[in-house]
Amino acid sequence: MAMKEITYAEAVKEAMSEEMRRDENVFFMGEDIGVYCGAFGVSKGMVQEFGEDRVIDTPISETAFMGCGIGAAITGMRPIVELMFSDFMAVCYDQIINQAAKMHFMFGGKVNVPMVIRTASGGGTGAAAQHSQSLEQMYCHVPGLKVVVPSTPYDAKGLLKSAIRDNNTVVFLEQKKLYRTKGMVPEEDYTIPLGVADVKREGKDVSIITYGRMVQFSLEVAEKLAKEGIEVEVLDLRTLSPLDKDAIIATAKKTKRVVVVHEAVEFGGFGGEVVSTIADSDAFYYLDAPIKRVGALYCPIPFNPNLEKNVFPTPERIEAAVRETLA
Amino acid sequence: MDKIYDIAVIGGGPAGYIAAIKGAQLGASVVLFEKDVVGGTCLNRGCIPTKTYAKTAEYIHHIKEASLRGIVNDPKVGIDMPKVVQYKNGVVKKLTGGVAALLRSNGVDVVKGVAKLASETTIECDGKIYNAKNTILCGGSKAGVIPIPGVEHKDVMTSDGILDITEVPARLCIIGGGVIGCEIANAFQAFGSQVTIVEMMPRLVANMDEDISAAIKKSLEKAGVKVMLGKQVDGIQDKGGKPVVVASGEPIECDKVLLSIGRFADLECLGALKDKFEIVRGKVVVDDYMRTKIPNIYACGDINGRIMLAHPGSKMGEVAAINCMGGHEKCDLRYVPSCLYTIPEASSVGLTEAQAKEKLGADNVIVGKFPFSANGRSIASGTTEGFVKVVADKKYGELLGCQIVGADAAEMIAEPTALMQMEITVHEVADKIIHAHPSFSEAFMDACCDALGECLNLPKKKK
Amino acid sequence: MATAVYMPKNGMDMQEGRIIHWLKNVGDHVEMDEPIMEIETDKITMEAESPATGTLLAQLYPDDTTVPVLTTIGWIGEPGEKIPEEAAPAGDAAPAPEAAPAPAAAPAPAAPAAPAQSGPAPTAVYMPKNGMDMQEGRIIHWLKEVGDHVEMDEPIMEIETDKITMEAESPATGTLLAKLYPDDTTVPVLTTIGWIGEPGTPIPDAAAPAGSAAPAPAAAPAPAPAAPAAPVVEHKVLDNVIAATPYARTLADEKKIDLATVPATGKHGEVKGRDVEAAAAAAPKASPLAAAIAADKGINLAGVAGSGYNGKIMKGDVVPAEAAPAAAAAPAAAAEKKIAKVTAEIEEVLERHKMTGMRKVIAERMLKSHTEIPPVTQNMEVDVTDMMALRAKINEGKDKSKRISVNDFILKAVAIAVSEQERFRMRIEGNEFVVKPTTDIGMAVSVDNGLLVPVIKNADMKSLSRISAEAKALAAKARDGKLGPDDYGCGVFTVSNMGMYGVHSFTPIVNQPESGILGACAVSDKLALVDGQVVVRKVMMLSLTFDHRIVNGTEAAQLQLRLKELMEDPMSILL
Repeated sequence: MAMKEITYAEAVKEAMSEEMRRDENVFFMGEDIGVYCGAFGVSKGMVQEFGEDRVIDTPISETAFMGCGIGAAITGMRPIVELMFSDFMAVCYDQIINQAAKMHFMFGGKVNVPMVIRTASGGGTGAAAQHSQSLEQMYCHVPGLKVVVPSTPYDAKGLLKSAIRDNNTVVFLEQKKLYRTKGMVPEEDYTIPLGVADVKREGKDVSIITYGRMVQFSLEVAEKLAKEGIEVEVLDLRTLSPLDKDAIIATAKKTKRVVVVHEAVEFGGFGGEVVSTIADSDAFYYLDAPIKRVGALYCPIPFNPNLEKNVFPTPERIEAAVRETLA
Repeated sequence: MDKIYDIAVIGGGPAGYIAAIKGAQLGASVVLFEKDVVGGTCLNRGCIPTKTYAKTAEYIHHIKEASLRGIVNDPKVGIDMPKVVQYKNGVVKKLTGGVAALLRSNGVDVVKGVAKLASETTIECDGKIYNAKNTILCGGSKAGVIPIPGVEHKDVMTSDGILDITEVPARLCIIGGGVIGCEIANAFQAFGSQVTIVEMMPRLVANMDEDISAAIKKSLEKAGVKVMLGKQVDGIQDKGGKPVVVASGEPIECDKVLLSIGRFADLECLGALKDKFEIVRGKVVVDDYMRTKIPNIYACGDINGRIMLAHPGSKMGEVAAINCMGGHEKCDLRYVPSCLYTIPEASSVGLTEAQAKEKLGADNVIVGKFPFSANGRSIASGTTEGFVKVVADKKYGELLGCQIVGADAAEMIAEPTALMQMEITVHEVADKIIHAHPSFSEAFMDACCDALGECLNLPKKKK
Repeated sequence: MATAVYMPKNGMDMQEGRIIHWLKNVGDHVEMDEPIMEIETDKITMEAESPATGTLLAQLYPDDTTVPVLTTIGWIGEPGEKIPEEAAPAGDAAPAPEAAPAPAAAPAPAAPAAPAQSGPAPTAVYMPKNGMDMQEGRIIHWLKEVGDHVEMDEPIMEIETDKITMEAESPATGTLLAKLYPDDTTVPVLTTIGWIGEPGTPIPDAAAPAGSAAPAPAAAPAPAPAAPAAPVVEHKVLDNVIAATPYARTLADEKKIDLATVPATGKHGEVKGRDVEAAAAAAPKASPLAAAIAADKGINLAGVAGSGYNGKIMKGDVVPAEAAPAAAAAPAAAAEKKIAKVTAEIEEVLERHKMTGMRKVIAERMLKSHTEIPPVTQNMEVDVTDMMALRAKINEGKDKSKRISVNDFILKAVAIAVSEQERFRMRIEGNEFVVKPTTDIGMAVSVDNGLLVPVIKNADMKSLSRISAEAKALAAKARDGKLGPDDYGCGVFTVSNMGMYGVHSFTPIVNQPESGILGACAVSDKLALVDGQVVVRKVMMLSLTFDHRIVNGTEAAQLQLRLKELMEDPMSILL
């Protein structure tokens, strides 16, 4: 299979463009996505290709354009709505939580909301407290929403295409710090199904279950520990809701030691769901150490780069947690 | 000679040649004395020739039955006896040559001649004296001859002779229905003789399980052999140059008589020390380490008569060699299989059902039996005669014995022998050991399951 | 310079104390004489005070550890002060037999693993040979734990011989240093099964053979557990559960390894998967047959030398060698058969009845009641002359089925008395006394093959005639085996009447979980002085057994006095 190297941002663009070419009902709207090419340059060239009817610059009114997307979706379109920063979901929370997630059910199944909410999530870019959060946990908690967090260009492109084709509202959280990272993707059309986790690295001693930006840190730690003969398995969840519980339980049983890592705040973070999945399964009987979580410290993301770096999980903290399970 | 060998072995049969090779493997300097051809009785006048004849008989059997399977052939079969003997000799030669090569490759000095002990550390052979620190006596045995009137008739022979005759006797009378008698009967009946077996005991192969005796009698009779049990041979008379065997008053006219009443240890090699050994019933007494009463002198194989079969003889030779070289091993002869190469074959290892019940009490013994008529491969092969019987202890499932009658019984007995040696119980066989299907071997597994009352391939038993 | 905290020696005899729990955490400020931990001595539980003012720098032993007296168990000083490496010995007095704790956050000391310290050689504890024939004995269970102090002749374990169950006594005074075999193991007689000595004394490697005495006779299991098995290991235990990871537990289950025998290396004292794996790898290999026989006979394979390939344990290593080859064995076998036959005949003479059903339950419950309850029986004589007279009057002309019995009077009197004294309506649950609001009185009824106690509910509120009718009905139901589940097991107090058998006093056993049981005895004539005249009075002994945890002597006496009062003034029973 022929492969090409592209960035995470390009993967997102390609996914959207390919789907828009494939299905004329797909259109895209968000702030500064047109001639400005998007806050992170993702949609470069798209308005030129698809025109302003299908690549729509919106006002800075999240409630309004989110509502617009919902309306379009329920009348047969397949909108992609971009929230420039995932933190802004708070502005249009009612639209997403109370309308988009609920309509299919409250209308007795007569209506679908096949909308993709794309948004740039996470920190590490010095964007400080209101522009660096990882709030995926909040979406996971609402029945009616699917939640996807890709960590590589390959995953981003394949999962976004599946999300666009999905008849549910899918919240697609891109990792802003990863936009410039590169990876290989097939030349041909491909999709990755939602709800399937991916073993990014196999191992037998400890499992790190993670997603998003932390996948890379986890792989670094695994690489380092391999030199000491410690083989770390890294499981990238990719989709948080629906959750691939089987993969989680399988890796826990395999290695008997688990560390759950995410960039989001540790307290009340999605990691708790993963830990609970393991604890309430027969993997419990094979655990040889308490399950560790590594997440961001319980404080707003600082502006100062040193402080910011150390609020998030670092490879050192991840490594320490791994070693603890082996003690 | 001035050389002092570490080990001298008298007799190059299965016990002797194995002892010699083992000794050489352990670094000993070894001299082996053989008065005839290496390989001993087994290779030259016993196991190998009879098994060659057994296979020939099997071929005849198949050819006669081939049309049942849809093969178009002429079921009338002829025997070119000189060729039969020649073929057998070829087989024997190949094997004895092989043994000789083995001995050579291991650096064993082989001396042809009749060797006897001259002293505790010297052996005399054809006038020469050899020195050895240890001697292993493997003088073997000879076919027994009973002193009945007429036994010297020209047409009376032992197993040594019958394996060289180049004419199929029209009528062959076999005195002694033990293993050898039955095997020769099986072969020669197939070759075209009318065979009669005269046996003193109430059953054939009386030292084997009763069910085996019954099955073998049935199959021999089906092939046309006349079986006379519980008959004593009064004597052998002559009628017009042909022998007449009188058995408990009944005359049996025949052309040749085979005397197969057993074998006796050959004590010639004891030489000058004959009286110094402990000898019971004509056999040299040894302990479990194969030691005789005389220090550094061992006796292995038929000469000590513990189990007069080739394979235990070999094991004894091995153990003796190890002990010569400073080892301290006992020869474990608890689980020696014995085989009967008739059609169908039979084999057994361990205790018979009767022996087990006698020893442990009938309530403590469980028995399982699986007939080959219920075995897929047997049915496909048309060899549905026979069974596998398993005898075990009730409490722990310890395998106590196994008896098999059927095609390839001689091969199949290896499995229970191995399991018994390793103390694997019927439970493990029934629960864990998967046997190939279709195979005769799975009948063993089924018999074990039957012993536990849970055989899946037999109809449910009414309580 | 930091101040050491010692395990105090509270009394001449005290050898060791248990830290129940620390009242202060490392880093806490403590004042001199402020209680810093709760300890348990040989006699009582008490608080131990801080020897100085400062910060608690270190706890050298965690909660629930037992250490010899005067062992340094903690340090107090300035925050950040360095803790001395060696535990300084406690002043003069008895030298602390050091179990050499590591400074700062040491794990629990393993008593038998103590190093170097010499002193008198330890005394071996043997499986006793109780009778000429005894070949092996079973340790049912140890009555003492490793680290416990034992006195000479004090019972240290319960054993089962070929004939009886009995307690075996300690051969010396000292500390139980090691148990070489756990509960429920069978060993040949005179096998060394434990060691007693000074705390910290190393245990000899080889089991010393038992003095002179009979050498193990030929028929005993051959080498079997002559070598000591794995010594008992220290674990972190809570409510009888050993701390272990789920994986360790699963693996131990799968490999049939007892967690109690696996040394723990987890940093919280838990057994980790690797510990069980190590134990499994070290486990002796045995042929399936030998393993089955060993499991059946309770032989510990760890102590058996294997004669098979690579040391594999074979049948011959766990059972006596079989008789000589068949030929020679014929006469021996015949003799054995004869003996077996004779033994079988003798055995037939002894009747055996399996203990099942009601008898079994009674046996168990009686034993339990007798052993759990501190029973006290008080006997009080009651003058029942008037009661008997009243009864006769009531029963005049009555049909047999309607007659009131002596026991009915007693039941009613007991109901009244018990309803008045709340303590008699209590039972113990855990740490609490639970009061039953209703006065439900049980009456013991003898039935075929046993004993039942149906209950009359709210007996204090029922009239004498109603009680009488119910008692009759319940007794009949009991004898017919027709009692329903609500009819028994729910009372607060029981009456057991042995009067008709002429019993004059006895010690009834409390029907758990009740507070007490009244044994009513036979009525007999007695001479008494009434108004200066010698008269014949009828008297009855009341034997009251009560659970001294719930009720004490005075309260019991009060109950009996009230009963006496009621029974001597029988009209009051009718009210």
